[in-house]
Amino acid sequence: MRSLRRSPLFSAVVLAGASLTSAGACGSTESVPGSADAASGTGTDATIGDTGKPTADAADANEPKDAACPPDSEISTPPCALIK
Amino acid sequence: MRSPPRAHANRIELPDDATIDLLAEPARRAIAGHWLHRASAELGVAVAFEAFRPRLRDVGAADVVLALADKAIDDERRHGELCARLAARYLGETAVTVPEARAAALPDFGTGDEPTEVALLALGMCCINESIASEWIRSCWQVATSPAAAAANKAHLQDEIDHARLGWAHLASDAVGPALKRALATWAPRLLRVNVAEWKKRDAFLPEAGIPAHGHLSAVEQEEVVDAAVRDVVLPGLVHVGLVTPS
Repeated sequence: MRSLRRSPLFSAVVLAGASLTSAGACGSTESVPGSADAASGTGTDATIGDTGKPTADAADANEPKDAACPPDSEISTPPCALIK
Repeated sequence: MRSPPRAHANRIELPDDATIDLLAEPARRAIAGHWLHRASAELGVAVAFEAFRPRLRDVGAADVVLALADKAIDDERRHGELCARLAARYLGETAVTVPEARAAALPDFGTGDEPTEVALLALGMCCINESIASEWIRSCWQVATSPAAAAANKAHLQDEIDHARLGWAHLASDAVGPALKRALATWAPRLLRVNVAEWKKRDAFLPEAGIPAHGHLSAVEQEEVVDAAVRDVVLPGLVHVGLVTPS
């Protein structure tokens, strides 16, 4: 990677977004910078905070078992094709 | 509670950029092809947000979420126009025809429950895809030395962040209660998997090594950025809004 810093987007995207509709009391103790300039790399780095860093395994534990679900090709939402 | 971000100016101005003229013809055409293709995609996303907005309203989404949806529609239209102007720059033309919006019908998850369908759209479109898009564009902006490419990526980034926030705001709101969050949690792994696969597809126009000075990552870097977005933004986000329990 060409000197890409760790993403500051967790704070700028998740915490700032969630704070728009809640008191932010979802287990995190982080502050909410909420600035697009911060996210673009000109502000402070974000940290994951006290919630810990989840892994893909944690998400996979919730994998749906319902065989009646629509196939993967039908649940891809449009903005995933933003670039491709 | 916080106020929604303000809308940006209607037109994003691009600076003069002598580095474009220094590129070889094949590279200029490759980049122009990328931006034209992306213009169509951005306009398609505008159509998707247009279809999404009334469904958010009808399930009682918060006003701030609806305001972000309105902004997203305007943003994506503006992005499409900006992408077409970038293509013209690389082709050495004053303007090109803005392409048609790519078809972008919203998926039907087949749950039979509209609040669940809308929340799944927020999760897939915004929390996952727009968060990945934000990290991807941030990385493109960081490697770009071309003034026009840097300006375009920074402008896009500022807006894409708001589109991702829309999803996190909705999932954190009273419109998504504990039972709905449990339902969303069962879908999260599949939504992540299918959308990440889309993001990791090779760009049909650009060389595998990318053209970093103009904000285009290599294929390897692109995969790393997508993985980092999932690891550092999306998965911690799912924990934050109570969909996933930390391991």
